[in-house]
Amino acid sequence: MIQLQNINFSYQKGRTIFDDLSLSLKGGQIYGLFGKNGAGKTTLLKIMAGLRFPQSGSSITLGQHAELRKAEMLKDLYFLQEEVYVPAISIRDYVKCYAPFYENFDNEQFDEYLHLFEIASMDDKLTALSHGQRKKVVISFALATNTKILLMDEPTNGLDIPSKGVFRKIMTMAANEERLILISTHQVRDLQFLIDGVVILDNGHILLNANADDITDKLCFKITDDTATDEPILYCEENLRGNLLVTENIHHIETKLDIELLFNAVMMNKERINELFNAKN
Amino acid sequence: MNTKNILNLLRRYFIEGGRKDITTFVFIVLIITLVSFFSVSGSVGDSMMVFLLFLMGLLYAGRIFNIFQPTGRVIHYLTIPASSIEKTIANGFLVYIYYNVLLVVALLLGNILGGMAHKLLAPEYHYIFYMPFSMNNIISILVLESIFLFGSIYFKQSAAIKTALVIFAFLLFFIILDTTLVGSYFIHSNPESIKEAETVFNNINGDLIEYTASILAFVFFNFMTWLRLRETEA
Repeated sequence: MIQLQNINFSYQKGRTIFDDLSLSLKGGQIYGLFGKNGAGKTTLLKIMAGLRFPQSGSSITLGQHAELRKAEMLKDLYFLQEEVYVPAISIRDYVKCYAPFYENFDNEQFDEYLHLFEIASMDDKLTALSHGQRKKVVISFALATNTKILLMDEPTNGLDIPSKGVFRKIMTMAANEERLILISTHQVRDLQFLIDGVVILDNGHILLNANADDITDKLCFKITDDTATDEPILYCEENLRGNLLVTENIHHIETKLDIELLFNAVMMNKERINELFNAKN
Repeated sequence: MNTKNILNLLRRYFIEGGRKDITTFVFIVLIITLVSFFSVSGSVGDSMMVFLLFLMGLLYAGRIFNIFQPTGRVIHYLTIPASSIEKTIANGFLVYIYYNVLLVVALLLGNILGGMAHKLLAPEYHYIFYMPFSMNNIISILVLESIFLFGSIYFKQSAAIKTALVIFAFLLFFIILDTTLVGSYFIHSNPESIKEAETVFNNINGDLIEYTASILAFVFFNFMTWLRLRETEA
């Protein structure tokens, strides 16, 4: 659904954001996009949506060159910004304004998501709502558009704790076999049990692009009292519960993916991670 | 190009900004009514009112895209599922047709209301209605609006003012260039060649050249607007 090939991008001369970056993302998956501050996560989403033009390379989204921003592509793509923009109209009018652009917009779904987020009135003016409430409305709208691609930039920023739970619930409801959802975030815990694939960005390159099963097949995430293990340790972190370890999974033990530990392990063992997952990249 | 997308863009405009337009319309009608009522002839036909109406049209054209402030609006606008050409056409319709019709209706309505009020107080008064829209005026306003439309997507802040300044600077440049060239020609030429030049100028169909140049300028600036919108990044 999204194909980035040999993307080179820089904002200013001398400061390269992406250097020959290639990435392929398929439908029916929820991907988490992770990276340090300034790694270029938002820029990558913008390139996919045709909002930024790479200096070289191609960005093909839904079979179209993204930078052309053709209507056929845009009607099947929704880009949810970190700081959502809303016009000074009611929620009802917002739907009247923008839903006709999306052929598969589902009013019932929208109402249901708003209900789950406890947004009671459709007549509330969007600009009168708090930042978090605006975000809930726009997230509900984005999911109800039923576009084939949904790009979300820090969707849980600004949401209160109960709403983060609701977010996870409605994301599960909105995911389907065709839809590609790419979520860029630092709030890894919000996505812990939600994502199917992990994309890690560092220094202009994709360090890791693998699905959760592949990761847990090759890596082991465990809490132990000591660090004695025959498996090569990629990352170790001490906390009150014990030692949090990421090791290579040579004994094929089934463990649960911990994104935060994975991220740290990847950052500290770039070459080894590349060797382990290279076949998949 | 999909007509449905253009209609959806217009519908979006009217839902988001319709109320503002009604308020502006009522305000313009009120002003014209008052000016018409207090003017000696009882009808607003003077060049000042026409100038003000034109100015409002240009200000409106200079704000039509208005997508750069606040931050986030540009992404919101660019990702609306319609192509750049559909967005340009929708905004062109609003600037060239909708808003000009609104101004003409406001002028008509204000004129009639002011004239009627004047006649109530002075029955001997003969109401003369005057609409100051000649073909030349219409072409000039459309060309100027196309420049302001381009300015509204080219400049990120205070687009209308910046566009006006650029036009002013260009005009000044051409006036200086024209004065210098013509002045130097007259100083350095003999009376016979001046006479020849005058004959050549008199044989040129000035109106045709003006209309052609205006149409070309109109098409050019609309094309530039589309191109700029297509190239806008967020």
